[in-house]
Amino acid sequence: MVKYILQRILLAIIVLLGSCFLVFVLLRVFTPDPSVGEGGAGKYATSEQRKAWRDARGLNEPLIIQFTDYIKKVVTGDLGKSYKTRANIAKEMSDRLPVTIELALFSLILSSVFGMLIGVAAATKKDAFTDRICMFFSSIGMSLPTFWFAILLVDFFAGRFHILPSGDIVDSCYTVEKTTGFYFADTLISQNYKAFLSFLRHLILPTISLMLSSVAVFSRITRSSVLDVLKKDYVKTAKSKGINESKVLIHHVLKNALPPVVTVIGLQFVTFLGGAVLIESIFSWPGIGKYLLDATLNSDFPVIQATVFMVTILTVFTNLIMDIMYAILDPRIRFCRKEANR
Amino acid sequence: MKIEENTNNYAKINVNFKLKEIVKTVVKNKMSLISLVVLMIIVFIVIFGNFLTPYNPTEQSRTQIHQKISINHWFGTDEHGRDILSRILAATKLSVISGILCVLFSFAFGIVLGATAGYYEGKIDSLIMRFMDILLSLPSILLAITIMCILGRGFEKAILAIGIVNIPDYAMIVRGSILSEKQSDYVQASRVIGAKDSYIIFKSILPNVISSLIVRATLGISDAILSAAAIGFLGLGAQPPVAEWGDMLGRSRSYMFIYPHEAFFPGVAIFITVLAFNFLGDGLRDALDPKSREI
Repeated sequence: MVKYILQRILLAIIVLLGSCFLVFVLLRVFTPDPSVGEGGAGKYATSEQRKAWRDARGLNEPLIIQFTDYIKKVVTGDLGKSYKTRANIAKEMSDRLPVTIELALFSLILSSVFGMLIGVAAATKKDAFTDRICMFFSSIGMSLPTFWFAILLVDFFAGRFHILPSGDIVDSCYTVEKTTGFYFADTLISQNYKAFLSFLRHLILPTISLMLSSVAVFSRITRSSVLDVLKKDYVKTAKSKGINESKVLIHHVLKNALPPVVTVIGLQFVTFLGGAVLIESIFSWPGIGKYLLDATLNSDFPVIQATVFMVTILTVFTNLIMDIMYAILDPRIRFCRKEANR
Repeated sequence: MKIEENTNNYAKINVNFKLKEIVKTVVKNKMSLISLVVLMIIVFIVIFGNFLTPYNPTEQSRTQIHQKISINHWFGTDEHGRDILSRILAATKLSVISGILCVLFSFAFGIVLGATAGYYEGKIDSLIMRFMDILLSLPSILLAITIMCILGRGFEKAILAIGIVNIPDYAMIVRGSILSEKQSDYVQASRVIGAKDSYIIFKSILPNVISSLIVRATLGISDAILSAAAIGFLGLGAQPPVAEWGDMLGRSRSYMFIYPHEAFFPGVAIFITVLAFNFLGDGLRDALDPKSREI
């Protein structure tokens, strides 16, 4: 087990460095000279001034040296400065990353709970009306464009009926003291309950938009996994012993149907980090998705590089945890590895 | 010579029989049948869209700005007075073709990379799969945006970005299938008679795994249409005055509280097209890959 975990960690580091290097090189080779653009050496700068601007940022060094310098700085917590706003990227990240993670986590918890409930309901009533309705709506959920659905929600709840806010993270009349960076925790720690309720109200529409397709994915995977387990002999034996249906479902079926669903939890978290770009831009949610989009529209390369790096760390880390959890939940994986090692 | 002819005839009968079975299963499923009819209508719009538009989709009119739904403009007009129905019809071609091109790109590269990795194994396999891991280490839409940032804005670049992002999907399927099929008797037999590697991969193994690839590709078209619309929505895809569903949606956001119909219809167009491809994909999976029917 320890060897397996070490292998996964090594692989994660290779992938992390590889993807960071790839983006680093491609951004420098294929994009126009940053000294010319906005935030560069200036519109009327001479070629000497441009060279000096590039020299000051180490952009004239060979790529491999630039990359090792960058990694050294990243390790010390320095992610550089934005070309456009000249703001410290690490500071921006520490403000924005928790906000995105918060949105992704809320969506993940709700979508996995709803999805699993729907999946179990559909599987236990296979081919019945409930099953068909669940599967039909899951197909619709997977086909609805998230951003369109979000716009419709905003139009309906904020534009027409003014029930929920359409943007931002808390009402502007509240100031939240930052301790952890997570609004959910910070509002509670500072006992600012009004701000906490305001945060929850602002969270509703982005969460619903983000979890839409995910509920569909969870329900489908849970349904298929539960159906698979329901066919197994031990379930038939338990049923033939006269054990209560719900007991069989909880103790025998769900326990064994869980591992594939756990893998999907990790995948969905990663998907949410991506979906955040769209949702954050619609709801003016001040997370890293919006940060990346603004940087892309302004060709602000240090910000793009840093955002990609941070999201890759999150993705690789999530995948690593999922791999380990999967091995813990499913003893066959551990066993297979032990056998292979012998 | 005679044996070869017989084998060919047998193969033809087998293909016809399989095709009939597939069509039968797809038609039997009501949702797949409906989606097939919807897709035929979409294909009709793709081919004859230019003749169906009541107005010129790019022609601006200052007197017709933000018109509501009426007999003259069934879906209203946008902020430049352009007829929304005409723009949706014109954009159908772009969106459907972008979906197909993205899938073709990732399909071709995925097959070559997956087959090479699975067939030769060893170092080349590790190298290709680590590259796939790198591509998978970012959420797909974020990776597509990063690639677009490197390549620049534009419709063709969006296709390329989405195509690159989806390569691992196909490469993984092909690699897995080749790894399991490689040990089969028919592959060993081909090796014994001295067949070339490329012949074994493309003529012997791939035809046996093509069904799961076709299913993935059909579902992949809907994913690609959604991603292309998302990129258009963010303003990175097709540039004005070209009509594109995602771009139309993105522009209508500024007026959504006053003129919600401008955001509604392009979204419906994306939704119907994606839903039709998804249902067809489900039907095809039932027909071609019955083992995964439960999902």
